[in-house]
Amino acid sequence: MNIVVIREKLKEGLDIISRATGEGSQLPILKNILLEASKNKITLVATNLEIATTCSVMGKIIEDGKTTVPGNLFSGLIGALQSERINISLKNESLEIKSDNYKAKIQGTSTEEFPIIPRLKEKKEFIEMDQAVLKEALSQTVVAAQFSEIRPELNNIHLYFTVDSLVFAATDSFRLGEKKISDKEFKSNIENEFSCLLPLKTANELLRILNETGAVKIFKDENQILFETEQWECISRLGEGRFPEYKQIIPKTFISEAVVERSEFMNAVKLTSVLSSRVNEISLKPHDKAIEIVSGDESAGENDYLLAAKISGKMKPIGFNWKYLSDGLKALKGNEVYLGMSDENKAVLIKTPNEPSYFYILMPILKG
Amino acid sequence: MDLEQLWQLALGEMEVQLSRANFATWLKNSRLIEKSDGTFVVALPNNFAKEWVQNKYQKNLLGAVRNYDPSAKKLEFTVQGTAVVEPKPQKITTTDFTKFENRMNLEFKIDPVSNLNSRYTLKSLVVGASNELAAAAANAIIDEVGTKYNPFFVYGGVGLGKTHLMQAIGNEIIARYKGKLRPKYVTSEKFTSDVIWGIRNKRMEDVKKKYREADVLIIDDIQFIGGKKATEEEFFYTFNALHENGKQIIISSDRPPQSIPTLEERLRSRFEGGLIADIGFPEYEMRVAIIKSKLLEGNRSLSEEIIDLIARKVKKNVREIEGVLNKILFYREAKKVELSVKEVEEIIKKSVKDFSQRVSEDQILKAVADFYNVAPEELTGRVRKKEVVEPRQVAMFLIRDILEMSYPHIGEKLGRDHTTAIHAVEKISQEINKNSSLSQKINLIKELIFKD
Repeated sequence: MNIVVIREKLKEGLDIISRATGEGSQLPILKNILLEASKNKITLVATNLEIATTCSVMGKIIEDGKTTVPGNLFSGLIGALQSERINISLKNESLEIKSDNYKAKIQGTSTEEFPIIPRLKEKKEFIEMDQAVLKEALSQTVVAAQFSEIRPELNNIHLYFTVDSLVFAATDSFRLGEKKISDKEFKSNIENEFSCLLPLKTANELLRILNETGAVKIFKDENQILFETEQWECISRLGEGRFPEYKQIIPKTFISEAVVERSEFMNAVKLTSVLSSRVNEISLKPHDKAIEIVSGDESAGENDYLLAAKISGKMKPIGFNWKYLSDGLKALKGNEVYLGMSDENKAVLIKTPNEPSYFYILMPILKG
Repeated sequence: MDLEQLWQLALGEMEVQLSRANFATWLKNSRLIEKSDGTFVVALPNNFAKEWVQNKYQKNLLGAVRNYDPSAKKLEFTVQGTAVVEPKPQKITTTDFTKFENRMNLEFKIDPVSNLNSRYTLKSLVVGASNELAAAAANAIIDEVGTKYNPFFVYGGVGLGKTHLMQAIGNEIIARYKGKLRPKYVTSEKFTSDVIWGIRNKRMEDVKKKYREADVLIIDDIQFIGGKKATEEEFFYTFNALHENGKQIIISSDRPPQSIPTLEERLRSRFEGGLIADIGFPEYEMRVAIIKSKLLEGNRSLSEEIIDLIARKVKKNVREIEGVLNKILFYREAKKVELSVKEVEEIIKKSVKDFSQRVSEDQILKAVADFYNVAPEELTGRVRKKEVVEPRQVAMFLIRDILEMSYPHIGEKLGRDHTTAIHAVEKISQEINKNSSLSQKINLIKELIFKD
């Protein structure tokens, strides 16, 4: 192998794949990344056996070849290099990295040892959308999830595809976020509805590498899912288990409803949380044309904040874990927030008024 | 042979060919799920494993499967999630496995569910004066699991057969009750690491469940949990949960509960609530019996003269007897001639070194002084305080017992008359039989002496 690449481009590529390496795995080769030059293409691959990310980098190929090198080491070195152009060549499994005034040799390991990246059986059916759309959908749902060893089926985002919509949902059983992308925002040639589980780890990795521009194509078979852009592709196993039937817990009727300004609400929550109790509890209490946000800790003190609100119906005091409330408020868009409440022990629906595509459901801290 | 057994055998062959990491990464959680017309379908947990096994191990795996089922012609691979795979207990006891067993070392005789090693049986346990109480209790427990002696606490020095006795109880219970009662054997170290794992991964519930499912919980070397707060607490709750439900608990330690200084009081009192039995150093007759039973186990023989020699010279513990015996048998096989008494003596000398060559009087004095927390000079000094009288007598007794020194010499060493030495040794020899706490102390001191 003998190639010349722009450092910036190579660094960008390494950033995309580097987190997919299997640090801490039993198999030492997973710490390595695969570097391959062939057919006028430079490819970087990393895998931890749950996901595998492949990224192509532009460059000039003088001679084909491939090897694997320790990912941390290689990324660190390329990251610290100052030169614009780098020449990389391979001699006897030793990777030589050269710039105008710098030269390094890294001991590589044969690609024979590197895992074979699985492929999909066929890539006929797909869903295509803007990367930004996918990124938003993932970020709005992952906030409601929390990694759990006890209920592994919740360590996933539930994807549900019908011909005219794609629904993302995630929950940690205290809250739930659901995002619906309508068929105006994606293209697809899939004719049957399906649902599958996208592992949280994969979702987080995607959030990191998805761009604001450009398109992404999604393919799947019965146990893998592939995300493909012009620059990179990321294949992941699908999650296992049965995602809970969450539709039935979405509250449909409300005793009282309230609309407040979002940024002020967020500030109020943040401010009052400073004196919240050990279970992170803050309470919302009805007030004249306002909601009183109260929190206090016996040993530390107490505070309350009056937040202007349009309330309809008879609102009852309700307590939340402020972290969960704040997560939901951050995931929303728009200037205003709608709260749909019923009983003090029933879930609350939080969304942007007149915006059906996303909602966040939060369980209050149970009383008595 | 069913598919699962066949697969375990084939995996056994692969395991020796591959590195540990490779085997664990690629073939763990694999299963053989179907067989038709010489085509075997292998299920792997993910596509990575499927690709890898298909491309790299297919040939070797097919070879391995064929060794056990010559009709195998082809392997096919498919992906089946781990969620549906319940780790099935592997039973390695049927006759199909004799071939396998012979190749694998003893570790593979360990039953993964109960964690018991089938090598330990009551039949192979040699019973003598030093362990007859413990052995009798074991038999009673097997007859009436959970009701007779619960908990059963057995203590004794290193290599005297505590583990053997406890595992034998477990094995016997499995055999007697045909799997209706599930024993579980763990070392306290394993228990501790499970608790730590549970705390760290927030899966304490799983750990609790694992231990509370057992009908007979056997914990080895309990002294090591002393002072580990969370572990002690968890053990305490596990203990109570099992005990309340009439489950049998069997515990071993190198010393009695009251002598484990770091152990919490509430645990100690619980241990003392059942039966406490000790296993002492085997006396000469028992050592002879042990050697004979070991020979019988291995289907070999040695002349009476040599057995007598080993029994006389090797007296520290059973493990050491085993070691010396193996060495002698090995030499004999390597040389292909019967060994003379002289040669055997040489072997024993080399591997054990007689106590007298290893231990000096000063070492004994130091160990005694350390144990009783007195200065070594006090032992040889003139003071006749009560605190030093017993240590001094014990020291004289041990020098006589271990080094077989003359009384005048012992007297001189401790700045005493030889009659004082005679009196001390006789007194302690009698006391030992009457006073179990003294004999326990002496055993502990002996361990201190022979530790290095």
